[in-house]
Amino acid sequence: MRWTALGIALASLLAPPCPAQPDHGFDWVTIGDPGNRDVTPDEAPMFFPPFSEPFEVGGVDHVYRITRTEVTVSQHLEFVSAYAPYWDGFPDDPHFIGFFIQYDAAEDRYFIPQGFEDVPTEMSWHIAARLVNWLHNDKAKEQWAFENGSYDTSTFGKNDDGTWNDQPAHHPDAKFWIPTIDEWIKGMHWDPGKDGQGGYWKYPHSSDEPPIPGWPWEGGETSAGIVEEPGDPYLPVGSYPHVQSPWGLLDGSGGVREWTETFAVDRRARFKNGTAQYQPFHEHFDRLDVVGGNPPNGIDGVRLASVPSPAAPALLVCIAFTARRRSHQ
Amino acid sequence: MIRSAWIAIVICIPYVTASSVFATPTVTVTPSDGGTASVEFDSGDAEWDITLTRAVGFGGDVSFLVTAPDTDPIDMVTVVSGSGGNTNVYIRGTSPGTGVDSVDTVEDIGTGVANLIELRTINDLGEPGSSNPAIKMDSINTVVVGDDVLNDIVTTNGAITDMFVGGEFQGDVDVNGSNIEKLEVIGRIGTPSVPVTIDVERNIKRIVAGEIYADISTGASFDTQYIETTGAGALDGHFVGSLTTRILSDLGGPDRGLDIAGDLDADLTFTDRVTRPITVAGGFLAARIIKIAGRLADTGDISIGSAGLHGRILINTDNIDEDWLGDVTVGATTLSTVPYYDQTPSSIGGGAVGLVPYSFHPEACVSAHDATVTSIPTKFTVRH
Repeated sequence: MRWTALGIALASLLAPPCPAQPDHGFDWVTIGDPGNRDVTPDEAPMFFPPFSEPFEVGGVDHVYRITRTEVTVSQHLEFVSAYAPYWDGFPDDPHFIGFFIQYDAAEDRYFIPQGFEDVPTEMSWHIAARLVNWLHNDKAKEQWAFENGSYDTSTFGKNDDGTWNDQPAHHPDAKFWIPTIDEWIKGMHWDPGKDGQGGYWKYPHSSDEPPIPGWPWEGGETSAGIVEEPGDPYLPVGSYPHVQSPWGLLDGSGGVREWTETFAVDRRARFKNGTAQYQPFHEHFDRLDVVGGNPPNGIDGVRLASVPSPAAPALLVCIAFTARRRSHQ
Repeated sequence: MIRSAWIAIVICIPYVTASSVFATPTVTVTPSDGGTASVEFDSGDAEWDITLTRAVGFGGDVSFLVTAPDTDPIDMVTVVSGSGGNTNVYIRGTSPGTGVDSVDTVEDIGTGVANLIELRTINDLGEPGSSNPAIKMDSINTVVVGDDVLNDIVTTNGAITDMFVGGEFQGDVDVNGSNIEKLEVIGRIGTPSVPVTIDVERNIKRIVAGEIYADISTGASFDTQYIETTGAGALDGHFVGSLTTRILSDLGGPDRGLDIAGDLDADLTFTDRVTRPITVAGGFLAARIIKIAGRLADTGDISIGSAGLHGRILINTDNIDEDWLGDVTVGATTLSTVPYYDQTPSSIGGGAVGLVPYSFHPEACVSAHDATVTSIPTKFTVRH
């Protein structure tokens, strides 16, 4: 459904005011154009026969926010330090703290080695769920704040048949959550103005050609596919600021692979998307119609989703006008 | 709009040699003239055998996508690669993110480059008692195994990029020509009664497991970045076996080095230096040696839990004038003043730390150095 300018303006005026949502230090991007269509077989052949049973994704019927980049090590550290009193596993378990946060047993504190604060972090899906619960509960320090809000962690567990009992989707009133596969794909690939009528780019940087591996200072477009040499650095998030999705999201390729909320149909894995630094075959894994997945007790990166900010109605006007302008060019 | 370059041909049922209660796996070849596939049901095993053959003389990459329902056990996937380009193999369920029931073997018997791009099983990878490798391909990209890996994993000229095992890992690993980028095992690698061998021609970037019973090695000129045991669930998080590598190194990132949730019951041999921490929540067991040919860097602190240091840590064993710079801590005690620390072996668990060239530990000697004796002993023990 294409919104008219008048309809947008009226909707903005009549929309109930959204409660103020804290940003919690994250850089949010609002994804509008609610009601966009799913991918088509032409755009995403791997999601349709003969490659797959039909997997129609990408359409999102609501406005939402998504972080411009993956969660960083420093953002993760704040959560780790808050949740540590309730973590009953090994203090260094990478499912909890990823690979870069360090634990000082003598001082019973976690810290980051200097220079790695803005590198993308990794964690299990179950820990990512607790992270968004904590944000939903305004970073309260008590244990309850980590165990519900967006996802009820009492549902987490593996069944005897290998499926997961976990709550499949965030609570309807959640303020923060892990992006669904539709929200991730839309934010990375959907362009309301593509070809004059809206469409999906094949790759998450507004192109149908794969991003070019290479260091940003050498003109590269992604850290995936780089052939690693001794001493090569891990890049901070946002290292390719000009390589953007149609909505301005960064690091859809490279960095770390990212969890989504959505279970595969058999409930054995949550989808994950994107590629990691140095990952080969990125031209395959970065495609619109290629998704990965891991059981939720695996270790991967994540970016976050949220309800729109109070400025969303006005922003919607801007986004809709822009889309309409593109469609008439 | 750019039309997709994917042109596919579906091969459904070339023939079926016996009745089957399973749905037939589907093989999609891209481009369609890049190769052929055969799918046969082995009624003896009640499993599918699949052969993927690259077209002779075909120039360019060829992809074979094998999809099957999650009730379908696959016995062998035989790949016949050839010259002209990569032969890329994908094996998964019929919907994105899903797996086949199980796969016994994926092996390339051809002469070209064959990459396993994606493999997903909801149950085991491998076959009990089989001598066949579970995987033998040039490289292994993304593998997700819902349960156990039962046989060996072999790359002939490439990395293991991202492998997740939801159960136990019971085969050897032989990586030729590249690294282990990420190997994550929720359960154990090896078992106390059947440890395994992990032999990597280049670097080990990340290995995470609940426990490890393995002899692990990298190439002589290559390093290890991060090995961790988590002790998750009912496991204790021990590392039993050995690690031989050049440097315990950051390889670009500040990973936590060697991080053991239980006891370290392994010999560690570093043919150059240690630049990342070694952290053992349990004890470092007797008769085990950590041998560092060069220096223990100041970023290479060694921490042993309160269960004690029972083995030996030897630094600068090549006697190349390298230093002991990192802290060695046992429980709450950091050995000082290095290298001639005051703490006796009995106070830290019975073991010792020595910097070559060794000196003797005055207090640990029997009788202690400079001690006054009231009778002439029949034996003196000098402890280094």
